[in-house]
Amino acid sequence: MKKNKLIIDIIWKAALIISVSLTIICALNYGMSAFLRAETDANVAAAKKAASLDTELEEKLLSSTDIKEQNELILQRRALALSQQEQFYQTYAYANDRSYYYHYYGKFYELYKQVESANVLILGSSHAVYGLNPKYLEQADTGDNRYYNFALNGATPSYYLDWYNGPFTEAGYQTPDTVIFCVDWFMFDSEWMWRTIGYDTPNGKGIDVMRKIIAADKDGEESKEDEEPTGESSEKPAWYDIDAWETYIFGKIPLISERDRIPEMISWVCGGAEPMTVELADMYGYDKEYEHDYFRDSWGDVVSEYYKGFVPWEANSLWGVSSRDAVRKGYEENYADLQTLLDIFEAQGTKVIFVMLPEYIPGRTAASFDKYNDIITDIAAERDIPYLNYNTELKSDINYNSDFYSDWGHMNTAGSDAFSGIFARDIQKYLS
Amino acid sequence: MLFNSLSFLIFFPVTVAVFFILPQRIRKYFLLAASCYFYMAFIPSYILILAFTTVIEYFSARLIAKYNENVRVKRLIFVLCLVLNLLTVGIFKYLGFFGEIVNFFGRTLSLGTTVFPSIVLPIGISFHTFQALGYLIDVYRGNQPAEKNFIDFSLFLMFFPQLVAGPIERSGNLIAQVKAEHFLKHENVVNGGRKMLLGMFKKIVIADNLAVISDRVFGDIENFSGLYLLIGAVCFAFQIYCDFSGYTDIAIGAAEIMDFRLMKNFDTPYLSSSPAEFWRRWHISLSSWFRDYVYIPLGGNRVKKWRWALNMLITFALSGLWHGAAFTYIVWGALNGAYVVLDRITKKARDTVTARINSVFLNGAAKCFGVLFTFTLILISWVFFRAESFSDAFYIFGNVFSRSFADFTGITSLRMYVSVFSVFAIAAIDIFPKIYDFRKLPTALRLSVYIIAVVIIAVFGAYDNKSFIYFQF
Repeated sequence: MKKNKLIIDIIWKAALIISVSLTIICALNYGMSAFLRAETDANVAAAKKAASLDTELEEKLLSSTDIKEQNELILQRRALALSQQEQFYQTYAYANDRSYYYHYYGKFYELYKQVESANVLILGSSHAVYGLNPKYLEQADTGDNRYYNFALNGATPSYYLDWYNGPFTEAGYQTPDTVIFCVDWFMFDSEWMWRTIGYDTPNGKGIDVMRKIIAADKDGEESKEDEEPTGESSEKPAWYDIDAWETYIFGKIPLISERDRIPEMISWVCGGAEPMTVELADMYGYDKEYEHDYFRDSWGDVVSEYYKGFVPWEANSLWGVSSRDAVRKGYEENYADLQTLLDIFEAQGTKVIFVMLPEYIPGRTAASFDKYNDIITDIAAERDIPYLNYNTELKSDINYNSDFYSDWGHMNTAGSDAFSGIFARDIQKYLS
Repeated sequence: MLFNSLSFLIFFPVTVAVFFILPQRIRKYFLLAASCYFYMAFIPSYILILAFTTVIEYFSARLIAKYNENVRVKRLIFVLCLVLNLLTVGIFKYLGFFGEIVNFFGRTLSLGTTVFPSIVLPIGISFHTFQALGYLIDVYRGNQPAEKNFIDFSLFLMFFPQLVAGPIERSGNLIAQVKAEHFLKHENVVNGGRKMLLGMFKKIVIADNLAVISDRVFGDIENFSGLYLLIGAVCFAFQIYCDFSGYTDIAIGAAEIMDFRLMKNFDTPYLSSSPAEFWRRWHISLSSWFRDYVYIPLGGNRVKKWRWALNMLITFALSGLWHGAAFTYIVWGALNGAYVVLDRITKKARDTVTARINSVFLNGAAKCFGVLFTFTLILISWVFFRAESFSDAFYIFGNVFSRSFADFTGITSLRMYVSVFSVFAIAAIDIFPKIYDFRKLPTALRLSVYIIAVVIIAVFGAYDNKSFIYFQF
């Protein structure tokens, strides 16, 4: 009897603690879900408003017979599209804490909205994000190629295979004529290069937000209020895989996946700041050359120089010698996925060009550079892919000038300007 | 499986429930099976290493007891078993390190290099081996009778709460408990549950959030200088304390719920006023193991002063080597040994000075200074422990007073605030029990604290760094 009383006492106290804790967590989670929904809804509403304006402009364009008026309307539509893109990624740029860089949103916006509809894509890691400016490629272009820098921080060949088969295909982006693949000697290292498609998929991230906007565009109605967050994985794991269930459950709880935004959520719930949106620019006050409002965000990205996926990075730190070296974790998978991706490009007639962006050679002490560079060279040779390596055969003064770098591997504004000009000239003979 | 995982949250209550439902006489069989399952959740095949060690120890101890009168045979069996144990841990843990040394000399003498295989380290091998060796040595010395019941002995070595990261239990304590009967007691569940909750809080909220900062600083060292290097080192000091003591709390709490008593492993070490005191309070089970099985057999302090100092340095250097197969760990250990030696040498003079202080305030100030000074010394040694190389460690020492700069890109301010809160939380957790007995608080207040802790763990816990630091040892 005494033992039963003991057990009951333990159970009810444990149940009380668990139930009250869960209630508090659910309440906070509800607040976070509502906050994220309000933010997305505001963007969806702005996108719908822009779409409506665009429709008006298109109707005017179709009915216009005056060449000068038509050119004006075309420019207005382009400015509208650019301002939408700007608004979209600026919405997520305001909070200094966001670890999901705003230019990620810009790239997924381009993917789903096809503002530029590029036929020459730049893929790669952060070295390419900050190092290769499409502006110089356009200036040097002798055809009518359209460029976009789809490089993403931490991206690996495995990432790009999932990206190409996933959101790229889903968005219906046109098959590229050329892919400029910015390779890195450490790109096979999954410990160093962290990005997975699961990183860009959950609630509030680039792919998720764009899917909601596209869905709203198609349905002509607000995003469904009761739509569940997409989470990192929408497929339920096997019943016995407890670790997978743990990942699945955490992905379904916005309070945990977006907890860095708890202060903003609390402000919003308390009736403080509204989810940030940028009002649609006054269409009749646009500039023919669209300009960005901000100069630099807290990450050091020079936003005012953002151009078609490229953004320079000015780091406020002393770079120096990096002792980091590539490890073999994930090598086989990344290698295999790179081959698969190249097979896809080959099958659809897309030309691929490998380029390794210049690094600050005195600051790079990695012992495995040669090993992995040889592997990339072999792949290029087997597939007859041009390989422009600006750390070996094509190295120049850029590789030894510390003024061009924010750290051993990432060029700054001056460096990207200098390199992009050179690369734009060098690549012309490989472009159709 | 990890303590901070969904698997363990399911495994543990089920294990406890079944344990107390079963009749007393078959509980140990179930507990042994549960412990095997717990270990196999990491790498299943490595249970064979555990089984191999268990069988070797069991039969060696029985043989030592059998040939107790025959000193030569007894010693031979002891040495063979000792060598086998050390060989096992040496192959899995130190082969790569040995290879680095061999290849270093090979390159220096132009003899060429050899490729040494890289073997995945079985989790907890150092802890398990030392626990087994402690038992063997006790049996050899005649301090512990050889255990005849194989199941009891196996459970002593493989009891899951302390299997992978200690505390390193002594046979005299745990074997007796394995044989005893166990009862579901209210105070055990409450106290054990509280310890587990505290351990989870220390690990998930404090240690794993501090790890984000310390890993960034130590992993990208050239982007930090000045004050930020110091911040990184301090974060690591508290990270390793909360990580390891958190694990120990969970282990002790889990055992307590099942009516087992494991030894205390930490006793507010950062409140120590001397290095010697620190090492009486930090990782107590390992320190006492080295004291009883290395330092004292070397002669302890019953020898000449220079020899005593050497014994101390050797003991601490070996302790460093136990922690990891790298020279930075050995230097860390030796440095702490030097601290303890200097502490002892200067103790008389310091005591003389403090004895002459008649003011309570000045005595308190002297003690505070002692605590801060000790923490500074330990912090310096942690730099060697955590740094990825000697050059990184010396970079920190050479730049800690330089102009400050940092690159915390990607670390949100919320995580920074949680980290700052963590440091105060550690102080509260360690100091509050010394002032007031938490159990005396009203029930409603205690339950509220538990609820707040659960919510904070769920919301602010860092789930991107799940392993415990000491798993690598």
